[in-house]
Amino acid sequence: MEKGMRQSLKYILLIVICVVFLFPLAWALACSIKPESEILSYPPKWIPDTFTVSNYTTVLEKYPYLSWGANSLITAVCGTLMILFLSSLAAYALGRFEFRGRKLIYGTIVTMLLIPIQAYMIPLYLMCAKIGLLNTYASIIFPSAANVTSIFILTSFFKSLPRELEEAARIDGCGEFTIFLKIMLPLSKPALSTVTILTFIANWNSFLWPMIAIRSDKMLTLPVGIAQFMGSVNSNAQFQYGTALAACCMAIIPTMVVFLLLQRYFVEGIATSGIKG
Amino acid sequence: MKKIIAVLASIAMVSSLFSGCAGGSQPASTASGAASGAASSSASAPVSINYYGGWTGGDLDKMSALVQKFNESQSEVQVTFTSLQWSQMFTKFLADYQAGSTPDVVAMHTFELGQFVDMGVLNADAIKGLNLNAADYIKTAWDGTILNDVQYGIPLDVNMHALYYNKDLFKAAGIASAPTNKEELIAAAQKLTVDANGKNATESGFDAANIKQYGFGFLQNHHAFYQTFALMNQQGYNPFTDNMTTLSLDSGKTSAALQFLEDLVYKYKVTPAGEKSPIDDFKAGSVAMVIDGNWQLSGVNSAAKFDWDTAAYPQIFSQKAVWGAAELLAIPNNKDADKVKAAQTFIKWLSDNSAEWALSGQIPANVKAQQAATKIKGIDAYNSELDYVKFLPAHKKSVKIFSSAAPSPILTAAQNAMLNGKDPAEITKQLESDINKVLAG
Amino acid sequence: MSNRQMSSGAAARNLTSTKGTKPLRASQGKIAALFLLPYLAVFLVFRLGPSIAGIAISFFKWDLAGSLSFIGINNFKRMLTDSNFHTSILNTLIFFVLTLPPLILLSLLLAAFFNQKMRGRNVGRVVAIIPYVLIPAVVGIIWNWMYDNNFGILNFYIKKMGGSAIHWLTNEHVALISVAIVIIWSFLGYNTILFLAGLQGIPKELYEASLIDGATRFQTFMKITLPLLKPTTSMVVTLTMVNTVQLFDQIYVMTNGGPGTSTLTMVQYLYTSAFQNYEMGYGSAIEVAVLIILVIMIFIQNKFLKVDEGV
Repeated sequence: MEKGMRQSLKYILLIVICVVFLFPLAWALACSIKPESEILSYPPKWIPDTFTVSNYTTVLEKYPYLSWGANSLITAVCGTLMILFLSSLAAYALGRFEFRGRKLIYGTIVTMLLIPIQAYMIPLYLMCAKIGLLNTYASIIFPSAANVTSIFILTSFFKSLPRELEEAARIDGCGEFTIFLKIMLPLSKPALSTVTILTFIANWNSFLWPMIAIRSDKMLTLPVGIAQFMGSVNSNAQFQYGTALAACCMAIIPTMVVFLLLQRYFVEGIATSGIKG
Repeated sequence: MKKIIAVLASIAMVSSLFSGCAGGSQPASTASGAASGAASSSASAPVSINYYGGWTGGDLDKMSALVQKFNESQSEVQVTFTSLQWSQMFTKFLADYQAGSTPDVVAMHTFELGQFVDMGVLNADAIKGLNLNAADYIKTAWDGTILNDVQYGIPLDVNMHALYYNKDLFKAAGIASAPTNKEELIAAAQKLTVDANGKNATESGFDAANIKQYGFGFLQNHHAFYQTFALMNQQGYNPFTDNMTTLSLDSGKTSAALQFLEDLVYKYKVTPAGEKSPIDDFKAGSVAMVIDGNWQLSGVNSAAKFDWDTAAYPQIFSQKAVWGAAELLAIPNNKDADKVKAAQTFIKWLSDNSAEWALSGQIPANVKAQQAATKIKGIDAYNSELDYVKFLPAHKKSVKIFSSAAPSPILTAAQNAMLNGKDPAEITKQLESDINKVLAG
Repeated sequence: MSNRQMSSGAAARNLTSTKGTKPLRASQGKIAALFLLPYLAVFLVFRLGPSIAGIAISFFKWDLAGSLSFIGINNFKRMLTDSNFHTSILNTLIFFVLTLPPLILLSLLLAAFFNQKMRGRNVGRVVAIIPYVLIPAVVGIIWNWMYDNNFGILNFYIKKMGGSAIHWLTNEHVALISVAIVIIWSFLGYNTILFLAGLQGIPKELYEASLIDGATRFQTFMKITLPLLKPTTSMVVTLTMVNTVQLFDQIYVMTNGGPGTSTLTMVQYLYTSAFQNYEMGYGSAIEVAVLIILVIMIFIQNKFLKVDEGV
């Protein structure tokens, strides 16, 4: 009986949490299927009087939304893969090897976490201009690959793995790369999927740098493209709610997919590895 | 030490690798960056130039269409158009300028001109070379491109405030026409401010805490200062000049302007305090009149489900005046003479063919284009204001003083008046000292 | 070193120094370099180099278009008397105080909740991350609109329930809180994911043993979960500090630093100085100040949540 109570309390709590998180999004979604005049009507209505997909078709037909999406996908996927590759190697070295200068290197890397893009954007831009990188996918991918959060997360993860693992492997005569590939990486699934999720989202939503680095309309990424056509609240331009909301609702899908695919791993990763017991 | 050198060497290698592959795979980027000097001057190949603007939404669509039309109309010049939000576009412009790959045409507002002139990035000779004729342009817009007797750009368009009003609500309240002066404005606004019980602000028992329809709305950010500026000018008073080094504000006149706006919110209660988006409230039919710019015309046209129109900005004080701004096209300094020439060709064409620009609610500064333009609904009131529209000065520090982002002297003043209902005389004093700080800095 | 606690990944407390681990063979320094080199190359070119250059600009006067002129520490001197700068520090600190505790406590509770066995928890996890996934500028716009004083949906419900309208973004005393609510809403899911990953690292047997010993769930949480989560907590606190102090997009869209200067944070002021006024040097100097403040915060944070200093 008491257990039943507790269970239903849990579900009530779950529903409350979902409502709080979803409220603004649901409101955006509800409005994205209304005509512009109805979006603004007061008192606000959740169910539209006239249901329309015209905001969505406008976005898809009038703007190169799909190529923006493709650009975003390419840069976010490549950037994330590069981060996974570069950061797992580096974090492994920082987390598990003892060598001179390790603290200095780690300290320097993590300190960069404290410097926002606004502070190094201009030098980065001038450098990219010098080496002819502007307006290319590479100009978005490489700066995003110099990711710090991933080093931060992975280093402390690698550090926490038990020593016995590799020592046993070493006794078996495995080389360091083999240990890294065959033993450490499989164990790191939860940490790696956390990093994948977080960096993919960060890359996907990245705004200021891609906007500055990309010049041609066809090369834009989604957030920059959406910002272009939706107008701005701060400048003298009309703001189009319907299309902006529709564009934004669609832009959520890829990140949700990545999250759904990977969250299983960081949930199950440790549980199934068997080492923890 | 050895290690450090090894690391540096490998970085150099890696970075050269990047530049190598980037150059190879992306010809689009190198076209703008590398082609300087004689490379682009061969007779057959078109000169490709870059054009930066700050438009979004419908304006962006229209401008893109115009650029495309230009590109298709001839084969000597090919324009690549980039549009970001204004301040971000300027950052990109200046960074590109610094990197030696400046855009060839840049759009800006007249009040932003002073800053760029002060930086020395604009090519006045290129504008002189166009041999423009003042009579072909709307006078205020033309004057706005000139700073200390030198012309730095070709005027593109003019933006202004005017009054939008909901004719259906006017009819329901028994008001025949749009207000033109202070008394009419307040009377109409009061009749149009209605509480939940259907009583308007002139009736007894009116519940000011429960208003469901407001009479008069306007933006309470920097635009509230723009209105203050207009109302100062309506008293024949404009202390802001292109070359001011200090500012002393006439407390009486500045306060009177601020007081009028404050009264609408706090005394007559016909304007919602802290209104964020008046034009959306207007479109929704919950505010009967709003002050906003011509850039909203096409949006109102497509969203409003009622009968509406625009009227000239009301005359509150002794003479007519309204805030406005003009956009212009300038040519940055560039060693490549071919590109400058191509830029000249393009901006002249754009100005001459700007009639279509009017389709998004703009008023072309080119008189012929303005007259040729298809009149979109509501533009007449704006056109009627052209004779007395007032611009902010093109002072080299105008961008700081009149900025829409904190900490800006005018934003603080506007918000102190509109949101806090502070004493206008005090606001004036603070505004004066804030501006003087910027001027001195 | 072979008991469960050690291996749990969370018990870094006992790993604070590397003394306990066997020193590696000398040749492994070279292997470490090989592991590090690819990342360091990209990092140096695209992050460290530009960042150092960015900070160096703080000693110059530069309008971005022209050339740099060295002015020593004048930019820093100017900060001393710039009241807007002082306001921005205060706002940043207040904002930090408003956002950090909820972002840590609520996300920890959420993670603990989502870590339970129950149906629909995956739905909950996905839902919680959605706000973080949205494009920040759009988040700002959606909330801006919900916050509208007169015709916003929030005030509509507040009025319906008999309350009086709140001037969310236009009252100087409320605006920063309103922005903080949006930020908590946005980042809660992000922190929850990090905590969840940390919770996954705690072996279930520990809980079971504790429960068998007769401890209540609450006691188990306090005695076992929290101490083992310390490294994760430390990381989450650091990332949250960095994220909130560096927050830009949402404030830019929602208030632009206003009303008055009530939401003018340091990064907001940095942006205005550098990219609206083109005082690149002064902007960089503000960045140096941001950096110093963050370093102090992290230093304090490390005092309280002392872990991982061996790294």
